[in-house]
Amino acid sequence: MDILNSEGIFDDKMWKECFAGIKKLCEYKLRSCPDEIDNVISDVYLAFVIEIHNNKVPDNPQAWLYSVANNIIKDKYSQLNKQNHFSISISSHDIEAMELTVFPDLSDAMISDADITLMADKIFSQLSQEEQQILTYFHYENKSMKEIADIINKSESAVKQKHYRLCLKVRRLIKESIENY
Amino acid sequence: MNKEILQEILQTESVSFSSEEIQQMLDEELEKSPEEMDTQLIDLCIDVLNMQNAPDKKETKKHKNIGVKKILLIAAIIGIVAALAIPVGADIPAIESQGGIVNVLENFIRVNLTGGKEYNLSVEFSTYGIPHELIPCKFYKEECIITDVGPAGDNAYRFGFELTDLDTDGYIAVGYVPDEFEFGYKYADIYAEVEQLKKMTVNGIDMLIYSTVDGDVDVNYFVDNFSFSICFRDLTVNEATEIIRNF
Repeated sequence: MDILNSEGIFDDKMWKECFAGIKKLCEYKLRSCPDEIDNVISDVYLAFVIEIHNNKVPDNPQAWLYSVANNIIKDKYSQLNKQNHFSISISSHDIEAMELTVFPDLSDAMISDADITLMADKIFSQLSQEEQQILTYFHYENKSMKEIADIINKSESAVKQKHYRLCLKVRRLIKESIENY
Repeated sequence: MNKEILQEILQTESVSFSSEEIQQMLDEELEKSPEEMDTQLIDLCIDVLNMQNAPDKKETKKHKNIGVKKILLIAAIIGIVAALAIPVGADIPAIESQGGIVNVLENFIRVNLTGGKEYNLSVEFSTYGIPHELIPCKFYKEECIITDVGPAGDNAYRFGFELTDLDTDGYIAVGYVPDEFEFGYKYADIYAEVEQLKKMTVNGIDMLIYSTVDGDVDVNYFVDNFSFSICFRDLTVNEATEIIRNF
Protein backbone atom coordinates (compact mmCIF):
# COMPACT_ATOMS: atom_id res chain seq x y z
CA MET A 1 0.00 0.00 0.00
CA ASP A 2 1.69 3.18 -1.13
CA ILE A 3 1.14 6.18 1.03
CA LEU A 4 2.84 8.52 -1.34
CA ASN A 5 1.75 8.72 -4.91
CA SER A 6 4.10 8.65 -7.87
CA GLU A 7 5.11 12.27 -7.27
CA GLY A 8 5.96 11.57 -3.67
CA ILE A 9 2.95 13.45 -2.40
CA PHE A 10 0.88 12.19 0.51
CA ASP A 11 -2.10 10.41 -0.93
CA ASP A 12 -5.19 11.02 1.13
CA LYS A 13 -6.86 8.02 -0.47
CA MET A 14 -4.66 5.71 1.59
CA TRP A 15 -6.03 7.18 4.79
CA LYS A 16 -9.54 6.69 3.51
CA GLU A 17 -8.81 3.01 2.88
CA CYS A 18 -7.51 2.57 6.41
CA PHE A 19 -10.17 4.82 7.89
CA ALA A 20 -12.98 2.24 7.94
CA GLY A 21 -10.97 -0.11 10.13
CA ILE A 22 -9.85 2.67 12.47
CA LYS A 23 -13.40 3.94 12.78
CA LYS A 24 -14.72 0.48 13.65
CA LEU A 25 -11.98 -0.04 16.20
CA CYS A 26 -12.64 3.31 17.87
CA GLU A 27 -16.38 2.81 17.83
CA TYR A 28 -15.98 -0.54 19.52
CA LYS A 29 -13.31 0.39 22.04
CA LEU A 30 -14.94 3.70 22.94
CA ARG A 31 -18.54 2.54 23.00
CA SER A 32 -18.77 3.48 26.66
CA CYS A 33 -17.72 7.06 25.89
CA PRO A 34 -18.87 7.75 22.33
CA ASP A 35 -18.19 11.49 22.63
CA GLU A 36 -14.50 10.69 22.52
CA ILE A 37 -14.61 8.75 19.26
CA ASP A 38 -14.20 11.76 16.98
CA ASN A 39 -11.37 13.09 19.10
CA VAL A 40 -9.47 9.83 19.05
CA ILE A 41 -9.89 9.39 15.30
CA SER A 42 -8.62 12.94 14.83
CA ASP A 43 -5.60 12.20 17.01
CA VAL A 44 -4.84 9.07 15.02
CA TYR A 45 -5.05 11.02 11.80
CA LEU A 46 -2.77 13.73 13.16
CA ALA A 47 -0.21 11.12 14.17
CA PHE A 48 -0.41 9.58 10.72
CA VAL A 49 0.11 12.81 8.86
CA ILE A 50 2.98 13.84 11.11
CA GLU A 51 4.62 10.48 10.51
CA ILE A 52 4.33 10.98 6.77
CA HIS A 53 5.49 14.55 7.14
CA ASN A 54 8.63 13.26 8.86
CA ASN A 55 9.22 10.98 5.88
CA LYS A 56 8.49 7.85 7.89
CA VAL A 57 6.11 5.81 5.79
CA PRO A 58 4.90 2.75 7.73
CA ASP A 59 5.44 -0.55 5.93
CA ASN A 60 2.00 -1.69 7.00
CA PRO A 61 -0.08 1.47 7.46
CA GLN A 62 -3.20 -0.35 8.64
CA ALA A 63 -1.30 -2.17 11.38
CA TRP A 64 0.60 0.98 12.34
CA LEU A 65 -2.65 2.91 12.62
CA TYR A 66 -4.23 0.20 14.75
CA SER A 67 -1.24 0.31 17.05
CA VAL A 68 -1.41 4.11 17.34
CA ALA A 69 -5.18 4.04 17.86
CA ASN A 70 -4.83 1.41 20.56
CA ASN A 71 -2.30 3.49 22.46
CA ILE A 72 -4.36 6.66 22.14
CA ILE A 73 -7.46 4.84 23.35
CA LYS A 74 -5.58 3.47 26.36
CA ASP A 75 -4.35 6.97 27.21
CA LYS A 76 -7.86 8.29 26.81
CA TYR A 77 -9.22 5.77 29.28
CA SER A 78 -6.43 6.60 31.69
CA GLN A 79 -7.48 10.22 31.56
CA LEU A 80 -11.14 9.43 31.84
CA ASN A 81 -10.60 6.96 34.67
CA LYS A 82 -8.95 9.68 36.66
CA GLN A 83 -12.13 11.67 36.39
CA ASN A 84 -14.73 8.93 36.52
CA HIS A 85 -14.71 5.24 37.05
CA PHE A 86 -15.16 3.51 33.72
CA SER A 87 -15.77 -0.13 33.38
CA ILE A 88 -16.60 -2.04 30.28
CA SER A 89 -18.49 -5.18 30.90
CA ILE A 90 -18.23 -7.95 28.38
CA SER A 91 -20.84 -10.61 28.21
CA SER A 92 -19.48 -14.09 28.33
CA HIS A 93 -22.03 -16.02 26.36
CA ASP A 94 -20.82 -17.92 23.38
CA ILE A 95 -20.71 -16.60 19.89
CA GLU A 96 -20.60 -18.84 16.91
CA ALA A 97 -19.73 -16.24 14.41
CA MET A 98 -15.94 -16.33 14.21
CA GLU A 99 -16.13 -17.66 10.74
CA LEU A 100 -13.31 -18.73 8.54
CA THR A 101 -13.90 -18.28 4.86
CA VAL A 102 -13.95 -21.69 3.31
CA PHE A 103 -11.28 -21.99 0.68
CA PRO A 104 -11.85 -24.00 -2.44
CA ASP A 105 -10.61 -27.55 -2.48
CA LEU A 106 -6.85 -27.78 -2.97
CA SER A 107 -7.43 -30.13 -5.86
CA ASP A 108 -9.08 -27.28 -7.74
CA ALA A 109 -5.86 -25.29 -7.56
CA MET A 110 -4.31 -27.52 -10.23
CA ILE A 111 -1.25 -28.26 -8.17
CA SER A 112 0.34 -31.65 -8.22
CA ASP A 113 0.33 -33.72 -5.06
CA ALA A 114 4.09 -33.59 -4.97
CA ASP A 115 4.04 -29.81 -5.08
CA ILE A 116 1.35 -29.67 -2.42
CA THR A 117 3.55 -31.76 -0.17
CA LEU A 118 6.44 -29.39 -0.77
CA MET A 119 4.13 -26.46 -0.07
CA ALA A 120 2.92 -28.08 3.14
CA ASP A 121 6.45 -28.69 4.34
CA LYS A 122 7.47 -25.16 3.56
CA ILE A 123 4.45 -23.75 5.38
CA PHE A 124 5.12 -25.97 8.37
CA SER A 125 8.70 -24.74 8.55
CA GLN A 126 7.42 -21.15 8.67
CA LEU A 127 5.45 -21.81 11.83
CA SER A 128 6.81 -21.22 15.31
CA GLN A 129 7.63 -24.21 17.50
CA GLU A 130 4.45 -23.72 19.51
CA GLU A 131 2.36 -23.44 16.35
CA GLN A 132 3.91 -26.63 15.01
CA GLN A 133 3.12 -28.35 18.30
CA ILE A 134 -0.51 -27.26 18.28
CA LEU A 135 -0.93 -28.25 14.66
CA THR A 136 0.65 -31.66 15.26
CA TYR A 137 -1.32 -32.40 18.41
CA PHE A 138 -4.66 -31.28 17.00
CA HIS A 139 -4.55 -32.39 13.40
CA TYR A 140 -2.22 -35.39 13.52
CA GLU A 141 -2.83 -36.81 16.94
CA ASN A 142 -6.44 -35.64 17.24
CA LYS A 143 -5.94 -34.35 20.74
CA SER A 144 -8.57 -32.07 22.24
CA MET A 145 -7.89 -28.46 23.11
CA LYS A 146 -7.94 -29.42 26.77
CA GLU A 147 -5.32 -32.12 26.26
CA ILE A 148 -3.12 -29.78 24.26
CA ALA A 149 -3.48 -27.12 26.94
CA ASP A 150 -2.27 -29.57 29.58
CA ILE A 151 0.71 -30.58 27.44
CA ILE A 152 1.92 -27.09 26.58
CA ASN A 153 0.92 -25.65 29.93
CA LYS A 154 -1.54 -23.04 28.72
CA SER A 155 -5.25 -22.48 29.32
CA GLU A 156 -7.74 -24.19 27.04
CA SER A 157 -9.02 -20.80 25.94
CA ALA A 158 -5.52 -19.69 25.00
CA VAL A 159 -4.97 -22.85 22.96
CA LYS A 160 -8.27 -22.35 21.17
CA GLN A 161 -7.31 -18.80 20.28
CA LYS A 162 -3.86 -19.85 19.16
CA HIS A 163 -5.32 -22.55 16.98
CA TYR A 164 -7.71 -20.07 15.40
CA ARG A 165 -4.86 -17.71 14.67
CA LEU A 166 -2.87 -20.62 13.33
CA CYS A 167 -5.66 -21.48 10.91
CA LEU A 168 -5.74 -17.90 9.66
CA LYS A 169 -1.99 -17.88 9.21
CA VAL A 170 -1.82 -21.20 7.40
CA ARG A 171 -4.65 -20.17 5.09
CA ARG A 172 -2.81 -16.99 4.23
CA LEU A 173 0.38 -18.92 3.54
CA ILE A 174 -1.47 -21.39 1.35
CA LYS A 175 -3.08 -18.58 -0.58
CA GLU A 176 0.30 -16.91 -1.13
CA SER A 177 1.83 -20.18 -2.24
CA ILE A 178 -0.94 -20.81 -4.73
CA GLU A 179 -0.70 -17.29 -6.10
CA ASN A 180 3.05 -17.68 -6.54
CA TYR A 181 2.76 -21.13 -8.06
CA MET B 1 2.39 -31.60 7.15
CA ASN B 2 0.45 -33.09 4.28
CA LYS B 3 -2.34 -32.30 1.89
CA GLU B 4 -5.02 -33.72 4.18
CA ILE B 5 -4.00 -31.45 7.05
CA LEU B 6 -3.95 -28.42 4.79
CA GLN B 7 -7.36 -29.37 3.47
CA GLU B 8 -8.67 -29.81 6.97
CA ILE B 9 -7.47 -26.35 7.93
CA LEU B 10 -8.92 -24.85 4.78
CA GLN B 11 -12.31 -26.45 5.23
CA THR B 12 -12.84 -25.45 8.85
CA GLU B 13 -15.88 -23.21 8.75
CA SER B 14 -16.06 -21.61 12.13
CA VAL B 15 -14.77 -21.69 15.64
CA SER B 16 -16.83 -20.79 18.66
CA PHE B 17 -15.46 -18.28 21.10
CA SER B 18 -16.92 -16.42 23.98
CA SER B 19 -17.01 -12.64 23.85
CA GLU B 20 -14.25 -12.57 26.42
CA GLU B 21 -12.05 -14.81 24.32
CA ILE B 22 -12.57 -12.68 21.25
CA GLN B 23 -11.88 -9.56 23.27
CA GLN B 24 -8.72 -11.17 24.54
CA MET B 25 -7.61 -12.09 21.02
CA LEU B 26 -8.31 -8.54 19.89
CA ASP B 27 -6.35 -6.97 22.74
CA GLU B 28 -3.41 -9.33 22.29
CA GLU B 29 -3.23 -8.60 18.62
CA LEU B 30 -3.42 -4.84 19.17
CA GLU B 31 -0.51 -5.05 21.60
CA LYS B 32 1.76 -6.53 18.95
CA SER B 33 4.13 -4.44 16.91
CA PRO B 34 2.84 -3.38 13.49
CA GLU B 35 5.21 -5.87 11.88
CA GLU B 36 3.61 -8.78 13.72
CA MET B 37 0.05 -7.54 13.85
CA ASP B 38 -2.64 -9.43 11.95
CA THR B 39 -5.04 -6.71 10.85
CA GLN B 40 -7.40 -9.23 9.31
CA LEU B 41 -7.87 -10.88 12.69
CA ILE B 42 -8.46 -7.52 14.31
CA ASP B 43 -11.12 -6.66 11.75
CA LEU B 44 -12.77 -10.05 12.25
CA CYS B 45 -12.84 -9.69 16.02
CA ILE B 46 -14.28 -6.20 15.88
CA ASP B 47 -16.97 -7.21 13.40
CA VAL B 48 -18.05 -10.07 15.60
CA LEU B 49 -17.94 -8.06 18.80
CA ASN B 50 -19.84 -5.22 17.17
CA MET B 51 -22.58 -7.66 16.28
CA GLN B 52 -22.96 -8.12 19.99
CA ASN B 53 -23.29 -4.39 20.41
CA ALA B 54 -25.51 -3.74 17.39
CA PRO B 55 -27.92 -0.78 17.71
CA ASP B 56 -31.02 -2.95 17.57
CA LYS B 57 -29.87 -4.53 20.78
CA LYS B 58 -30.49 -1.27 22.62
CA GLU B 59 -27.20 0.50 22.10
CA THR B 60 -27.57 3.84 20.31
CA LYS B 61 -24.60 5.55 18.81
CA LYS B 62 -24.57 9.10 20.00
CA HIS B 63 -21.39 10.21 18.35
CA LYS B 64 -21.28 11.93 15.00
CA ASN B 65 -19.69 10.03 12.19
CA ILE B 66 -16.53 11.90 11.49
CA GLY B 67 -16.49 12.83 7.87
CA VAL B 68 -13.39 12.80 5.77
CA LYS B 69 -13.86 16.52 5.15
CA LYS B 70 -13.57 17.25 8.84
CA ILE B 71 -10.43 15.19 8.99
CA LEU B 72 -9.03 17.22 6.13
CA LEU B 73 -9.82 20.42 7.97
CA ILE B 74 -8.10 19.17 11.07
CA ALA B 75 -5.14 18.19 8.99
CA ALA B 76 -4.93 21.71 7.60
CA ILE B 77 -3.39 22.78 10.90
CA ILE B 78 -0.75 20.04 10.80
CA GLY B 79 1.77 22.64 9.82
CA ILE B 80 1.31 24.36 13.15
CA VAL B 81 1.58 21.08 15.03
CA ALA B 82 4.76 20.26 13.14
CA ALA B 83 6.10 23.72 13.83
CA LEU B 84 5.73 23.17 17.55
CA ALA B 85 8.01 20.17 17.23
CA ILE B 86 10.55 22.01 15.13
CA PRO B 87 12.76 24.38 17.12
CA VAL B 88 13.20 27.80 15.65
CA GLY B 89 16.22 27.83 13.45
CA ALA B 90 16.13 24.07 12.83
CA ASP B 91 16.29 22.89 9.30
CA ILE B 92 12.88 22.43 7.82
CA PRO B 93 12.79 19.09 6.03
CA ALA B 94 13.15 19.55 2.32
CA ILE B 95 9.69 19.08 0.97
CA GLU B 96 9.00 19.97 -2.58
CA SER B 97 6.11 22.26 -3.09
CA GLN B 98 4.03 20.79 -5.82
CA GLY B 99 0.86 22.38 -6.99
CA GLY B 100 0.35 24.11 -3.67
CA ILE B 101 0.08 20.82 -1.84
CA VAL B 102 2.92 21.54 0.54
CA ASN B 103 3.92 25.09 1.29
CA VAL B 104 6.89 25.98 3.41
CA LEU B 105 6.02 29.26 5.05
CA GLU B 106 8.71 30.79 7.24
CA ASN B 107 8.81 28.51 10.22
CA PHE B 108 5.98 26.17 9.54
CA ILE B 109 4.78 23.89 6.87
CA ARG B 110 1.24 23.77 5.64
CA VAL B 111 0.13 20.51 4.14
CA ASN B 112 -2.89 20.76 1.92
CA LEU B 113 -4.10 17.21 1.81
CA THR B 114 -6.71 17.88 -0.81
CA GLY B 115 -3.93 18.09 -3.37
CA GLY B 116 -3.98 21.85 -3.70
CA LYS B 117 -7.50 22.01 -5.02
CA GLU B 118 -9.53 25.19 -4.90
CA TYR B 119 -12.53 25.40 -2.70
CA ASN B 120 -16.01 26.46 -3.57
CA LEU B 121 -17.00 29.01 -0.98
CA SER B 122 -20.71 28.28 -1.32
CA VAL B 123 -20.09 24.64 -0.62
CA GLU B 124 -17.84 25.42 2.32
CA PHE B 125 -20.33 27.82 3.82
CA SER B 126 -23.13 25.30 3.38
CA THR B 127 -21.03 22.70 5.13
CA TYR B 128 -20.74 24.89 8.21
CA GLY B 129 -24.21 26.37 8.10
CA ILE B 130 -22.99 29.87 7.30
CA PRO B 131 -25.50 31.96 5.33
CA HIS B 132 -24.15 32.76 1.87
CA GLU B 133 -25.66 36.20 1.68
CA LEU B 134 -23.73 37.67 4.60
CA ILE B 135 -20.45 38.29 2.81
CA PRO B 136 -19.72 40.52 -0.19
CA CYS B 137 -20.48 38.98 -3.57
CA LYS B 138 -16.86 39.60 -4.62
CA PHE B 139 -15.89 36.41 -2.87
CA TYR B 140 -18.15 34.34 -5.08
CA LYS B 141 -16.72 35.69 -8.30
CA GLU B 142 -14.21 34.06 -10.57
CA GLU B 143 -11.36 36.33 -9.51
CA CYS B 144 -11.63 35.07 -5.95
CA ILE B 145 -9.84 31.82 -5.16
CA ILE B 146 -10.44 30.20 -1.81
CA THR B 147 -7.05 28.74 -0.93
CA ASP B 148 -7.59 27.03 2.37
CA VAL B 149 -10.23 26.26 4.93
CA GLY B 150 -9.64 25.50 8.55
CA PRO B 151 -10.91 25.85 12.10
CA ALA B 152 -10.24 29.09 13.93
CA GLY B 153 -11.34 28.26 17.47
CA ASP B 154 -14.60 27.09 18.92
CA ASN B 155 -17.44 27.35 16.41
CA ALA B 156 -15.23 29.44 14.16
CA TYR B 157 -13.75 28.79 10.72
CA ARG B 158 -11.22 30.55 8.59
CA PHE B 159 -11.30 30.74 4.80
CA GLY B 160 -8.16 31.95 3.06
CA PHE B 161 -8.63 33.75 -0.24
CA GLU B 162 -6.79 35.39 -3.12
CA LEU B 163 -8.26 38.18 -5.21
CA THR B 164 -6.40 37.78 -8.46
CA ASP B 165 -7.65 40.99 -10.01
CA LEU B 166 -6.40 43.08 -7.09
CA ASP B 167 -3.27 41.06 -6.41
CA THR B 168 -4.18 40.67 -2.79
CA ASP B 169 -4.99 37.90 -0.41
CA GLY B 170 -6.38 37.50 3.05
CA TYR B 171 -8.90 35.52 4.97
CA ILE B 172 -12.48 35.48 6.15
CA ALA B 173 -13.00 34.34 9.71
CA VAL B 174 -16.55 33.41 10.65
CA GLY B 175 -17.65 32.59 14.15
CA TYR B 176 -21.01 31.51 15.47
CA VAL B 177 -22.15 33.31 18.61
CA PRO B 178 -25.14 31.77 20.40
CA ASP B 179 -27.73 34.09 21.91
CA GLU B 180 -26.69 33.30 25.44
CA PHE B 181 -23.14 34.34 24.76
CA GLU B 182 -22.76 37.89 26.03
CA PHE B 183 -19.12 38.50 25.39
CA GLY B 184 -16.57 37.53 22.82
CA TYR B 185 -17.50 37.85 19.22
CA LYS B 186 -20.16 40.49 19.75
CA TYR B 187 -17.39 42.89 20.51
CA ALA B 188 -14.52 43.46 18.15
CA ASP B 189 -11.42 44.05 20.19
CA ILE B 190 -8.68 45.39 18.01
CA TYR B 191 -5.14 44.65 19.04
CA ALA B 192 -3.20 46.37 16.33
CA GLU B 193 -1.73 49.72 15.50
CA VAL B 194 -4.56 51.34 13.66
CA GLU B 195 -3.90 53.93 11.02
CA GLN B 196 -7.35 54.60 9.76
CA LEU B 197 -10.72 53.67 11.19
CA LYS B 198 -14.24 54.14 9.96
CA LYS B 199 -17.71 52.81 10.43
CA MET B 200 -20.22 52.24 7.67
CA THR B 201 -23.56 50.55 7.18
CA VAL B 202 -24.18 48.15 4.33
CA ASN B 203 -27.59 46.51 3.88
CA GLY B 204 -28.46 47.52 7.42
CA ILE B 205 -25.33 45.89 8.84
CA ASP B 206 -22.97 48.08 10.84
CA MET B 207 -19.37 47.46 9.86
CA LEU B 208 -16.09 48.55 11.28
CA ILE B 209 -13.25 49.05 8.81
CA TYR B 210 -9.72 49.84 9.83
CA SER B 211 -6.25 49.72 8.41
CA THR B 212 -3.15 48.79 10.37
CA VAL B 213 0.48 49.81 10.13
CA ASP B 214 1.19 46.35 8.67
CA GLY B 215 -0.72 47.30 5.56
CA ASP B 216 -3.72 45.10 6.30
CA VAL B 217 -7.32 46.26 6.14
CA ASP B 218 -9.82 44.53 8.38
CA VAL B 219 -13.58 44.58 8.20
CA ASN B 220 -15.57 43.40 11.21
CA TYR B 221 -19.31 42.98 11.53
CA PHE B 222 -21.83 40.94 13.43
CA VAL B 223 -25.16 39.72 12.07
CA ASP B 224 -27.61 36.87 12.75
CA ASN B 225 -25.44 35.31 15.44
CA PHE B 226 -22.43 35.25 13.13
CA SER B 227 -19.35 37.37 13.54
CA PHE B 228 -17.34 38.14 10.43
CA SER B 229 -13.79 39.35 10.19
CA ILE B 230 -12.43 39.88 6.71
CA CYS B 231 -8.74 40.67 6.46
CA PHE B 232 -7.33 42.07 3.23
CA ARG B 233 -3.58 42.23 2.87
CA ASP B 234 -1.95 45.08 0.97
CA LEU B 235 -5.16 46.86 0.18
CA THR B 236 -6.32 50.39 0.90
CA VAL B 237 -9.35 51.22 2.98
CA ASN B 238 -11.05 52.66 -0.10
CA GLU B 239 -10.46 49.48 -2.10
CA ALA B 240 -11.77 47.35 0.76
CA THR B 241 -14.78 49.64 1.10
CA GLU B 242 -15.64 49.14 -2.57
CA ILE B 243 -15.57 45.38 -2.09
CA ILE B 244 -17.79 45.28 0.95
CA ARG B 245 -20.37 47.71 -0.42
CA ASN B 246 -21.76 44.92 -2.62
CA PHE B 247 -23.44 41.96 -1.02
